[in-house]
Amino acid sequence: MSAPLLAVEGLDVTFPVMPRGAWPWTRPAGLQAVSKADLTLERGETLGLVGESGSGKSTLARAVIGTVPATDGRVMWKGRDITALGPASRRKLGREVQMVFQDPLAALNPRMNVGQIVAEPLATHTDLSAKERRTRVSEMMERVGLLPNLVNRYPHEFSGGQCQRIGIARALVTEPELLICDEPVSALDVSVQAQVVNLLAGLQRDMGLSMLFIAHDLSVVRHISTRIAVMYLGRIVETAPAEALVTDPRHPYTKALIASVPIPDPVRERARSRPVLEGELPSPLNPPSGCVFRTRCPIARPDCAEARPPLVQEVPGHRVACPYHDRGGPV
Amino acid sequence: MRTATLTDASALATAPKGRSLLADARRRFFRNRAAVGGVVVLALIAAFALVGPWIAPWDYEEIDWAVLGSVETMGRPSLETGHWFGTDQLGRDLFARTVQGTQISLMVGIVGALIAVVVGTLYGAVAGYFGGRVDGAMMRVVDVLMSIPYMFVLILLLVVFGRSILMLFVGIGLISWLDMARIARGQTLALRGKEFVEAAIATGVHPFRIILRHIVPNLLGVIIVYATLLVPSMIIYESFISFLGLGVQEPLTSWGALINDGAAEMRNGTSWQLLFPLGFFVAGLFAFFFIGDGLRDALDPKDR
Repeated sequence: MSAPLLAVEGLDVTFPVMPRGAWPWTRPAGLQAVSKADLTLERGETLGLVGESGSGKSTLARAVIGTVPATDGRVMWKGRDITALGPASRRKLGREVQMVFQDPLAALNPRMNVGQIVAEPLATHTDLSAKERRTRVSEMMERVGLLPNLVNRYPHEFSGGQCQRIGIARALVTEPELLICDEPVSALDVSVQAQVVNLLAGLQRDMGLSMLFIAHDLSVVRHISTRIAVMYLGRIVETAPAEALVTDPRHPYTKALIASVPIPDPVRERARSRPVLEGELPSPLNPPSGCVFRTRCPIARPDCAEARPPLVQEVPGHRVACPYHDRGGPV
Repeated sequence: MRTATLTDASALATAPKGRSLLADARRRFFRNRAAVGGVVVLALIAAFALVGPWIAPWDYEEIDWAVLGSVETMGRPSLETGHWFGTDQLGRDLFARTVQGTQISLMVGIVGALIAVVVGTLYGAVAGYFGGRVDGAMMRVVDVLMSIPYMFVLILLLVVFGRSILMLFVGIGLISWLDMARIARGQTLALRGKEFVEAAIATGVHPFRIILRHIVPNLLGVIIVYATLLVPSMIIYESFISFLGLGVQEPLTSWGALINDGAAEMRNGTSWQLLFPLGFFVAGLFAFFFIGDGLRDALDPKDR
């Protein structure tokens, strides 16, 4: 079997944080945003990445795309370690891996018009003439559902959904193989969310894209993903095919996450029992020992504090980082 | 079918023009009466400096021997003698000299501000974009240069290397970009965290291209405002240096040098020698300040 399109192996991302009022020479504390993350993404697949705010989803994506340095571990792109690449060859990868951002307007340079914005990846990675670039840009704009005669407009003249379409057009104009979507719809209205998600799903089908789709909304991720990975405090706690994860969640955190998805039917919504998680996300500066979820886990037991539970494959394709999930309540 | 025709190059050429942020700002600027007044005054002064040499009946270094010795009476401003602004104490035509002084002063102001804009912006943007140690080292250099009293350096330069316009430009250029570098760096730090810069990094755009295409255009608002406010302060530096007698070399002159000469003769009843250059100086500075204010209001989207 050939190497997967993208493989993240034991990835650590640690940010140095200076304690308040510290001397300049004090050693900064390490904030572990991503800890020993393992992920694989096959060609044509959509991997959903879910987790609450601060769980390290975006940092993981940024480490893959190279805007945040990995402290440890490897990111393998088609079997090649790209964390070790020099800056020039790293930049070349921009043609194959592209990203769509959370805040649609902030991701577009306010001083450039739409044509320039969408053409930038072409100008960076190809030596097409200005005329060919214009043709490619207008083709791409049509594909994302924008009128090509809007090329001379500026970002502030568009709505959030349109800005996100421009962002998608920019990301796809060089025909990349992997598209990383960092919460592409969470800043949009619900009706626009559906349009953008369907647009992404359609483009993925047409262009044979692979996607890493980050969101905190499980219902959106479920709709678009083939596989889902759940993150908690920088650790991946469960990965499974989308349907298996939603219908048969194993990790207690995943169970709580799925229970918190609202059902759009008040009768059923009121009738179901929902185990609500107590407490707050612990500080990533000082994470709990052993299993990081034990402070909020309904089935935690004393030995959870001892060692970090490994991601264990239980059913083919379904990995869980909790050895006790099928043992019921606390002993 | 409609979309198919829209992709034609001809259809694209007719694509409607978008309103850029700068176009919006331009409209706001021209609604500001004081700023437009400033532009008009400045245009008149610039026209005076450019056209003056052709319409002045006298040359700026030519001495009117008929006037020399009785400047108080013969050298008054008058249309008959051709000395429209009168003459200075040596019988040289003040109109021609004011034209020449305006040229020098505007040039000093604009060159000083240009050096500040180009050097200061690029320096600050590079420091802010790369951050970390590069930023630390680059900004410490600025701190060190700033801690040296600039007037002292300027005077020393002019004394050691002789008084020349070139030295004046060098001296003013050395100090003018420091504040601009700090401002540009601070703004760049804020911009670097924006997602569109991250998008450009993720796309693989070369860092210097990011600075030129993404950072600098977004600094423009602040830079333009600061530059228009910098021009008058450059003119004031030069005038102060000239007032001390260290500025431009005779027979060349500048607003500051003319004011200095006029002020020296204030008690001899030749007030025109002070008032004409002073009038231009004040009008010019006011014009620049009003334009700077107008630009700041026009470019600040929060203050519409």
